[in-house]
Amino acid sequence: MKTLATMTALWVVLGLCLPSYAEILVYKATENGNNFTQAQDQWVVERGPWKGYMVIEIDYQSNTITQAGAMEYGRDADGHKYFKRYSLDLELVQVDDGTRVRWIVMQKSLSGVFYMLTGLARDGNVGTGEAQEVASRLTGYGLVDQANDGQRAIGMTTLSLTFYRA
Amino acid sequence: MKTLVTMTALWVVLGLCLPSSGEILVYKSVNNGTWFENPTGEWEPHKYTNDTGYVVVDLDYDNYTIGQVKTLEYYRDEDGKWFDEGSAALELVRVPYGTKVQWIVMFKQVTVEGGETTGVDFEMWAGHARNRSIGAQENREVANKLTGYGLLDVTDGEGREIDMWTTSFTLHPSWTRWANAQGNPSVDATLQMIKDYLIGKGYQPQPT
Repeated sequence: MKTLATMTALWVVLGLCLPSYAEILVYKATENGNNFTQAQDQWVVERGPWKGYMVIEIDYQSNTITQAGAMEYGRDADGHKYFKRYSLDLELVQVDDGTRVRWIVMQKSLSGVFYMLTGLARDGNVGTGEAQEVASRLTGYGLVDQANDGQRAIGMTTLSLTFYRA
Repeated sequence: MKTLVTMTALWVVLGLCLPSSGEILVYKSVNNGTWFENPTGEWEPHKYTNDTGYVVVDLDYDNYTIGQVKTLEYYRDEDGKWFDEGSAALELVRVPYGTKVQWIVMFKQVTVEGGETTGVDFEMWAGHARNRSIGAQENREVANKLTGYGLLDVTDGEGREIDMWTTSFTLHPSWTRWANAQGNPSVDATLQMIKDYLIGKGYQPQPT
């Protein structure tokens, strides 16, 4: 029993000391286009650009995005500064054609949201000292068609993410 | 009973004489994009530029709904000049705001197999609509140009395909007027007219 406890403690310590294969990537985001929202039978049209940040936790071992969120900031119609936080469920597909690697990042939901971004990935040190393949720029499109409480929201936008080096 | 039959016949005749609220719209489409396929476990990227075709739409102006839609893509390859016919279910959302009207046209398809989502195809185009003389009726509201995007992620027996593209649709005024000037305008008759035009240019139906 003592051996088991020692072994467990050893594995925990080793686990803590092992280099993490996860890294946090911060992108500055700009979204352009139109959002159409139906409110009490009237349509409201909002035009971009909308600005914000996207934070991604990437696991380089499984090449998956384990967690992601976005922050939009700006001024509302009354001139007040605001920020809004969104949680994201992103999927990463790495397309390796033998000469270069392209990232495809997608946010899909069956309720009518589909964002797709692509960009070339290159070796770069983004924080931990290890050179990892990272797409420093991702561009793509976003399509939204959602209905909530009888109201409809439609969006058609372009989105660009640029790696944020603080 | 005789009165009922007479009334029914009268309504049928009146119905046939009433102007149709449907109209045929012919658009030329141009696609540009990138797609990635993974048929053998290795990703193959492809690019396409200026893929062209025609889209024929039957629009019901009473409800602003799109009925039948047929598409015709045409292209050349090393073996010849081909066209390929297809169909689609499109939704029109008419967005009036201020003094303007925006048309938003969408195609959405989600494929679920065995409880798993195996495919999402989402396409959306938008454009300002204005009154134009396009056929049987004067000054119908129509979007002369629609632009937008398509996003696709499908996994099937041939592997996974991811596609991201832009599309522009431009109204073909002379063919739209031709289509609506026919006694009984129809999507199929209009498509046949376009096929005949392409055959005259040396295109053939794509071999199956």
